[in-house]
Amino acid sequence: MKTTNPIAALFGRSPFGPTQEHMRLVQSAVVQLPALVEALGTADASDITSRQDAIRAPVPQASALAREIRLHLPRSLFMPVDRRDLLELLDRQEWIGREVRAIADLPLQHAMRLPTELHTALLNLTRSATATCQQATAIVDEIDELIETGFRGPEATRVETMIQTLDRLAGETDAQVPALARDLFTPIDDASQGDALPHATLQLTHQLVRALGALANRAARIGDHLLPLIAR
Amino acid sequence: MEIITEWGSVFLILAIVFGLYMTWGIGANDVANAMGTSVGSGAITVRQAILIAAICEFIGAFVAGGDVTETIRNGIIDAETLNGQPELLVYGMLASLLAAGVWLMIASARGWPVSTTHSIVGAIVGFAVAGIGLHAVHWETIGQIVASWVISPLLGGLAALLIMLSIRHLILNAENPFRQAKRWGPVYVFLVGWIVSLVSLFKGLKHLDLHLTTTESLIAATVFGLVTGLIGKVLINRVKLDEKADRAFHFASVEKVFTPMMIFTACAMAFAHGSNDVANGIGPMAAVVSVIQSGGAVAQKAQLPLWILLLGGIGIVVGLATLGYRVMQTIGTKITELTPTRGFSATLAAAAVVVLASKTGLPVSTTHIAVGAVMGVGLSRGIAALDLRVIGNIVVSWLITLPAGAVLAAAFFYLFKFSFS
Repeated sequence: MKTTNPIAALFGRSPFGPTQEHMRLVQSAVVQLPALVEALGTADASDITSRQDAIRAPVPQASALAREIRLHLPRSLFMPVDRRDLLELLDRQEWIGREVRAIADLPLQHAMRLPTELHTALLNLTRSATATCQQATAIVDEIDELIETGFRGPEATRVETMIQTLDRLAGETDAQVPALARDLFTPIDDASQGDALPHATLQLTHQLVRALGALANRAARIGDHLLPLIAR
Repeated sequence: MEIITEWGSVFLILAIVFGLYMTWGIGANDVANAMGTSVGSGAITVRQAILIAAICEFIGAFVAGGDVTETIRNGIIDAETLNGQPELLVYGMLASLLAAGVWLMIASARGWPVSTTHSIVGAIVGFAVAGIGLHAVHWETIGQIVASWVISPLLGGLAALLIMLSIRHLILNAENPFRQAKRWGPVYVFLVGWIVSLVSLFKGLKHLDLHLTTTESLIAATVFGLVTGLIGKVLINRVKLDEKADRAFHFASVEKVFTPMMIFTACAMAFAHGSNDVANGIGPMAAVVSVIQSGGAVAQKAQLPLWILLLGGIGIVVGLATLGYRVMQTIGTKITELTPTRGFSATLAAAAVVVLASKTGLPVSTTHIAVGAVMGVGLSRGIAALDLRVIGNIVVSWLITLPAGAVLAAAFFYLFKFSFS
């Protein structure tokens, strides 16, 4: 005998758990960025390749999960968050994944070697961007607690504070970008010096700096999106 | 009259067989819906749910099942129109039981979420209109019953919403949710015992010859509530703070406090279900029995024999033990979104509304009220994803069940009439 229990059928598959899992997958790629930048610093080709592979590995997994979430989100679902808002959040998480992948792909364009004098600054920028994404992941992880408390009370306040921290981290990351670019381009203006950086190195390093800044901004946009959902 | 005296014992046996069949079906299928919110939250195991259901369904049927039984037995059909032809009532009630039973079997085999209450009410109206005439039905009672089918799930939803909001306010959104949960938990358990016993006992229990004044019922309910609250406190005190689980989910320990509390709502829900749904099986049976025992008089005011209530309770328990066990196991897999706080709110609200309906004699659908209560919790932005298709299915099953029960009952009615006359 087939029995469809109405109570059991009433509970649709929650998309929030998988969405949090998606963010964790993306973040598992992000946390490996500092190691990649370190490898780029030493220009150890095999080390770079293994770091690239490690970053790329979770990305298709995350994409598959995102596709699954979209496929299993019937319009008949009644959720504490608007369906469109959830899809938008997923979109923003996927952008972080794309951004990370783009960074991992940079060394594919040309054998890459980072200017030695900028190592520390670049590594700091990478760590800063990674920390920003980590904060965004922590915020996404709070969604089940928000649902438990109905998006109100001390829990909501806590998440608000977390979003403020996220914005601060993103701002700090962003502030490092122009300074780093300046340090990168200064030797060129000083044309009399013969040891200007090779063109490709200059280009790719600049791309790396900009991509790291963009990554932090993408992370901040997750906070921007969640904030009005709490305030509603 | 001769038909009654000639075939009396045959009718009696048929009534008992069909009545038991119907209550068996309720125990086999319907109880699982009533226990769904308790088992689904993982607060109690299937085994515990069976045990709780067996005891509390029986008590509910026996203690508070009288009023709804009265409605099903006497409230829907105008007995005046039957004078001189008591056999028509006998055919009709037997036909209704058979029709509702058959329809429920067809529907559950196909997995439709049908209500036993809707089936039996549809069947009784169907035979009355087809066999006696439009005037034979107390349409105002039907109006009340149908209105209660719409209002009761809404009421369940509203009550669940309020309970959930109060739990949020007092516990989840407080400074120290775990401490608050331990402080307020026994109060909520008190509330479970108090509401259910107050509603059931209010102004006494007619068929048990228990007559209480308002004050007496209030005192009795408060004493009962305090006893349950005390037992709740003992169970709640054993819950320890689980810091490791709290790191993954900040409210894990709070939810653990609500787990033993769900035992009480599960009992309340089983009691409520017994008090309302047993009537679907024994109401028609009681009508037949009273016609036969009075030798053909369609007595409007006959006492409800207690052995019939007992029989209904036994039918449910047997259904539970033979098939209900398996049906319940299908929902035994934990519904992760139904946490103990949410399950507690929904089950307490549903139980309270069902008991209230039982006291007013209105046959309502326990399943639909439970669905309404879960929706109420969802409305507080408290559940990740509710599939609204279930609501659509319920509305469709409504629209199909009433006419299906009616047509089947009319057909069986003519079959009986043709066979015995």
